Amino acid sequence: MKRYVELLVVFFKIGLFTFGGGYAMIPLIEREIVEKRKWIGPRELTDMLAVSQSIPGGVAINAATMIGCRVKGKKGGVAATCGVVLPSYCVILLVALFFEKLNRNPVVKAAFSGIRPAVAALIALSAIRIGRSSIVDRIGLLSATLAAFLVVALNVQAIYVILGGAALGILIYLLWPAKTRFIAKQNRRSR
Amino acid sequence: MMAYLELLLSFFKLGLFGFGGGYAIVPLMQQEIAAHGWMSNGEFADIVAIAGTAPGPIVVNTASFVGYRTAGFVGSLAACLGVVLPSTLLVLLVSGIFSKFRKHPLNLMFFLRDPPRGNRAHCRSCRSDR
Repeated sequence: MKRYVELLVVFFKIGLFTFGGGYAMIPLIEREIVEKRKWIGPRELTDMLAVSQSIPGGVAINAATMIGCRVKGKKGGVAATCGVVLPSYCVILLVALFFEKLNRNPVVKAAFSGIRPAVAALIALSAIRIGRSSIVDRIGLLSATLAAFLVVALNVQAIYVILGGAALGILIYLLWPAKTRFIAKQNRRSR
Repeated sequence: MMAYLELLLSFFKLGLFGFGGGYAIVPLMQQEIAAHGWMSNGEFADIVAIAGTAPGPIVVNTASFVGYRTAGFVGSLAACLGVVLPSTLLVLLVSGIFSKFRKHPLNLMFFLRDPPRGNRAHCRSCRSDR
């Protein structure tokens, strides 16, 4: 029982004090889980982070669930997930309560007109980061271009494009298994 | 009631297909929100900005905020749960398989025989940010 509470509290702390999304949590997780509490080794954490990046959803949430599971089984996973989600949920709820009032203020309005382009830049940055590590050959470039075309020009639902990408990947693996291994190798090198 | 269910399902879908995390899921959300007519793109951009500034994962923050703006407190709860559930269930499910193997279970996954170095590099870059 004590361990569950400890997991909840540790991840609550991590969730509360990291600004700038899941990736900012990684150094904190390293310090709290690996260095201070020694629940898992540094190498295992690296592996866990790799898995949490590969499965859908936020990296931080996935990592929290995985670490919780590793430390104290399924209930531990739930405790860690609740811990990491709760603080941000509460803070956002608080902000949302006052947002309506604040948004009528002309100064706040002016600030947000400047913030919007910055958000576009942040999303573009994330596109560049993911693109650099995943587009390594002509097939990758082709599938990225095709996906962009489908979403932008033909207004296809992005989820179908993701599923299509998965199908393309499996198809290429079935036709040219060696090619897939080559891409995986390239991937590792480019990162 | 329908509105809550719709939020839960929509964000469950986003959580299930949102690979990459963070800002990578934002375009998916934008499409979903536009399809439901929940809010304007400008409003959504403001929410994303706040979500990126507030503590915690961007995905959770954005989902909770959109949920609140669309259907109040219960809406925020529905959206937050929806976006967190798929990956959590996935990890819980997979962890059961992992725990059957001994010692270093994660290493058994084929793509981890040589773990990507990107994470280490990322940790380092985050550390220098602080």
